[in-house]
Amino acid sequence: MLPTSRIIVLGALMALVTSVLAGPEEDREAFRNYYQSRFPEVALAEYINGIYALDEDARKQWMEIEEFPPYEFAIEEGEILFGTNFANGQGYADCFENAGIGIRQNYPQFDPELGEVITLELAINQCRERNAEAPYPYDSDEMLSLSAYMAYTSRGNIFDIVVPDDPRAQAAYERGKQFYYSKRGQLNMACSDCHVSAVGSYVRADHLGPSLGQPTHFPVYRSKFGRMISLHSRFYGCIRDVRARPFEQQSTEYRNLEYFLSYMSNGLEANGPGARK
Amino acid sequence: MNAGWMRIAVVLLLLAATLTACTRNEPPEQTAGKIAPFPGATRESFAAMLVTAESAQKAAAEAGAEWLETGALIDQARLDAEQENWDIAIELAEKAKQQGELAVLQAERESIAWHNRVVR
Repeated sequence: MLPTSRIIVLGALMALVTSVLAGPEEDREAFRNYYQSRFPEVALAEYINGIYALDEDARKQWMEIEEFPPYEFAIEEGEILFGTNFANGQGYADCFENAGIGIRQNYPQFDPELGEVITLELAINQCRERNAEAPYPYDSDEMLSLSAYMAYTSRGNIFDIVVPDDPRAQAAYERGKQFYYSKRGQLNMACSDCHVSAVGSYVRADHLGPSLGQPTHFPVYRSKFGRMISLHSRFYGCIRDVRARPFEQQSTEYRNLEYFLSYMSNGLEANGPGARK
Repeated sequence: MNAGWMRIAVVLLLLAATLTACTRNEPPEQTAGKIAPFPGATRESFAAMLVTAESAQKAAAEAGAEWLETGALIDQARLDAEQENWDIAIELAEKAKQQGELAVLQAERESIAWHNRVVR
């Protein structure tokens, strides 16, 4: 019989080999199966509602909030901004496929020319800069409103993130995956510690939400802050909470993380913007 | 001594032995944060420690693994040094150095360990 230490090393090696060999589709299937086995009573389509798919009491409160959605002002503001042309006469519609309507589910994308992952918010600023306009700060009301409006026009569309057959795209996806599963900070915690291993458990008075379906509903209005926040702002808060130094919004690290997480949500409906506590 | 007292004595002895063993086997992460005081600290010893702390912070940042308060510890160490509170300043710089070193170790370990957490 093999000594225990050899069995442990062999097990770790097998895990490593399996992990390295798994591609995005295998990852997505395993990710989805994990949550569905963990919460068999929750329908797959419900995961777009985040923690409200798992917590019945919180869901009731949320549904009441949704009767007068606090993100409506952002959608209205975003629609006005989206329809206002730049000084050169061009507009956002000229920068995006399908004139920018109903495209949220295709972001983030891998840009083969730049060789990096482009999120919707980054694409909005690229559009502005191409038209000689100053980029918006990523936490600005303008950026969040534009993002909210574009998400709103995409409601019901199915997330369809593509990792093309390009080693740079696959590397970006892998780096996002590595970020998600790596422990960091003084608390030595990975994203997956809360949102996979401990999903549904209490953290103080709230339950930890699933990562499956998380990107589908951003940006969100957070009652805690009384304003809209982006997905990267949420990442920033989580990283800070495990006492690691957070990265800036739209950093390569967060874009790759969004790429991985959004791919995991492929097949689910876009339902942003959302409302969260 | 009757059998009851004997049993209690044995339990107490085992408890003491367990506590001693646990203390001796304290993992490095727990002992690393404990800082010896620096009563004889000087401007020169602080300056040397600050260089080491900044270097450790830089290494952690390059690994994408810097901890939240490392920079704040260094900033506070500088403020205490301006007040010539050398013992406090060097203690803070030492703590920042340890954080930087632990963050690098964490990143090195995670470069392999993350694979074990992937959902399969």
